[in-house]
Amino acid sequence: MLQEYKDEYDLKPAYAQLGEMLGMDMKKSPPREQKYQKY
Amino acid sequence: MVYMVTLEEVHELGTELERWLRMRVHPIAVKMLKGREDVPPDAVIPTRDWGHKFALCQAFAKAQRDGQTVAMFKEDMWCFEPVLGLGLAESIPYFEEGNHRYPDSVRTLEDAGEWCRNMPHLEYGVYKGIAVGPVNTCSFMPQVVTMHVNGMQMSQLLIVKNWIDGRDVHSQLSGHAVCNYAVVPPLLTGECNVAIPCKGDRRLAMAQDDEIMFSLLPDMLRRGHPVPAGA
Repeated sequence: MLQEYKDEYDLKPAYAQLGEMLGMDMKKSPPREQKYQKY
Repeated sequence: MVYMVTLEEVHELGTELERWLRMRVHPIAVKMLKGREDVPPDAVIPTRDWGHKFALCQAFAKAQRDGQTVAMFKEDMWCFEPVLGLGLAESIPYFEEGNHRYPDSVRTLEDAGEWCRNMPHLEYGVYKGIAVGPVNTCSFMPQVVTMHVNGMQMSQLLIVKNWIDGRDVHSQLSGHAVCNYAVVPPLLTGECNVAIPCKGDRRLAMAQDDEIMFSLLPDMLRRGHPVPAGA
């Protein structure tokens, strides 16, 4: 799971682990690079 | 007699400050929330209204660039350092031992723990959340006003600080967790503060290479002006 955070959100495993230990849901990332639709 | 600044004056004097410094972005009004009942009526709550979490620096960016008021509780936070710094969660040994800083950003675990234990923080449980908004239109009375400024603007602010009370600004500086370093010390000491944008602020929230953060107490906006008669 921690590797998934790394792959999906570029989140260091230690950061993800600490966040989860504090009761945070680290799976919901803030917005990152935007992908614009063609118009 | 201490003159307490009003919200109308915060708007008026904050706007004057922006114009005088020719700022690129609004100063950010910051208020700590003791519960959901304190959420400003115009505030966006990221998980409720946007369906995703936010980093606190991103909320700062929304306030200063878009004029958006954002309220965040622990469940809205994606970055854990403000969660600990603002006292929204109780610190744990894993954090205080420095495990998230070693080996990437501090070369020994012992020194990483030293940084973690010294990170500015509020007592756990006093507050449940934080609200931020642009100082020129904020719907709440801020406890702290913090702002991204360049070197020239910082000089001007420090000169004004000296003019007001003759005292220099003493700050604890770090390249990490600017949200905590900008907001927590003024809340604890009632003094101005300087802080350095962290990597998160730069990467997630568009802090610019030439920007530094300056924090002041709203009352200082008035202390730079003549106090109204009878106040």
